[in-house]
Amino acid sequence: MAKIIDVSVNFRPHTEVKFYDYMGIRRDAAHPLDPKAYISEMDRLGVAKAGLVANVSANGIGGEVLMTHVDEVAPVVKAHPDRFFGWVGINPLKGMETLRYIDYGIKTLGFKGVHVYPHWFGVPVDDRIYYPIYAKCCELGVPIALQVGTNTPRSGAKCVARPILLDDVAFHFPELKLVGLHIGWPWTHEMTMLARNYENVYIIADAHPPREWEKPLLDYITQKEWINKDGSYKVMWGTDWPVQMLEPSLKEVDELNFPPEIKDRLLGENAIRIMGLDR
Amino acid sequence: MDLHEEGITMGESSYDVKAIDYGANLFTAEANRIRPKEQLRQFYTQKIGIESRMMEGVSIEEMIERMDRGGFEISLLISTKAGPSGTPYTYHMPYQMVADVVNKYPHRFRGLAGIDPTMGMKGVRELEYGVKNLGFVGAHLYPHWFGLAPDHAKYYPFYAKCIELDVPIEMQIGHCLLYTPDYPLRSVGRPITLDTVACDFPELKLIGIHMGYPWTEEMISVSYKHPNVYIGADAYAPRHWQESFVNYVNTWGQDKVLFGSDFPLLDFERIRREVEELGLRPDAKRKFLRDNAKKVFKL
Repeated sequence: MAKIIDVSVNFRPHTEVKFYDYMGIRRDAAHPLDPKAYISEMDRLGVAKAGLVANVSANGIGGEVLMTHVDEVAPVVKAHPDRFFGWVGINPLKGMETLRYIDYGIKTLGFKGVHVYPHWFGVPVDDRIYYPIYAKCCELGVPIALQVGTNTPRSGAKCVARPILLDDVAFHFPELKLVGLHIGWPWTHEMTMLARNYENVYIIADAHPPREWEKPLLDYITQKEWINKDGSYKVMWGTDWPVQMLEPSLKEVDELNFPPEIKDRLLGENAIRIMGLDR
Repeated sequence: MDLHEEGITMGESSYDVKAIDYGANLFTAEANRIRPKEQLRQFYTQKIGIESRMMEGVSIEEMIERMDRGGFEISLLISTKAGPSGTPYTYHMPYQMVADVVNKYPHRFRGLAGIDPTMGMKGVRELEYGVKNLGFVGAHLYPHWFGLAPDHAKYYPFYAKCIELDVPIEMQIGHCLLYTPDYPLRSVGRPITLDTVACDFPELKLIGIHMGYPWTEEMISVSYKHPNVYIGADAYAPRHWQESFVNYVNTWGQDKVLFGSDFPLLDFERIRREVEELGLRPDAKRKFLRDNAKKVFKL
């Protein structure tokens, strides 16, 4: 059994967003990640490592930016380097400030990737403002993960990131590791098509319970499509905690009955390779 | 390398202000071997009509003599990227060719790093190499050679890199000519597109060269609006400059204008004579010919 990596864990839920009202989730029940508790949960379930996202969203487009600064996450990563790695979540609208922030998070803090929730900022992911961010990721040799499916419902965001918008980006930046977050749902097939078409496009299968993963994703992972030669190497499993929880998510992956070597890639080997976790 | 200040005599020039030219082209026989033959014939010879003798190549030493006659101390040499490489109509002037000239005559030249947005990260890294390793003082862009307006996403990594390297970028704004009928180019560089770039990158020092012609008023408005947007006056002879632009140089835009030759399109001696004939105020003239370029390019 290979190592299991939960590639996407939100360090601190931003409970200000209206989604909590829509879902009827009690705000006082939502809490920041408790590293010790999460590690003991990881231990119990055999999870080796988790990627902590210094996540940035907004209270609706144009609303207050809800930011978890990398400095909040860094001490936790530093205290448990064998159990956690960091993602630099960004506000894409801040120009050079964003680039300097990325430099700081990657070079100074040693985080492993850049992370964006585009829908909260209202600008499409192939817009000019994203290009220097992509170039910065190339320079630093780190992947960038973007939420490319639906936006969070009833929360003042809008959908500015269909997977197909990454086509031009993948083409123009062949050395950039582009990662579609949240499977690209409901455009799952569009997402797997992109990952198939470009060496440098990957998928994080998170935020949706594995029992609901659609056929295009399952067929992509198991390389059932006739023109798919490496899909099992291009998808990384994650929870998007607290959106999904470790135990049920892992159980549901089990129930999908992937061949063992494919399951190993999905649950950990791919993340280690793509995120450079062995470096 | 320190610049000469007042009181230094260069060649035959008796001008009071030693000018800095923000953009000239190498036109040596060696450099012209890189330019497409048809472009040399149809553009430089037929359209522009430069001296036929010059078509055999202008040595660096002769270029310096010409600079001396016009009272120019320094020219920034462009390592031109005219379109993507690999077509019969386009060319890249290698950075090293410019760097060699600058190294040979460090008192008279500085280098500019040409940009080709289709090169992506390779181009960004080359720009960084040009500034960090070859000592280039700025970047240079011909948007029309790539069919992409200056506010296109593909340029944005280069703009960010210019800020990181703390160098300005100059680019042709306004219409472009037909360099050869076999390879027509659209005029994509409206001045107002720089407004977008300046809003996105307030720190970026942008110089719209060729005055934005024929949208010079639009160019003036953008440079007046943004602290870091400048206008470069070159490629059109000073006696043809429109009155509102001369007024901008002389008064309200005197800190926002730079002077250039686009040699060999215009000769140093002629443009200097014609600038002197504009009757600019001494302070404004000094800023235009020298001080603004010195400040913007940190010479």
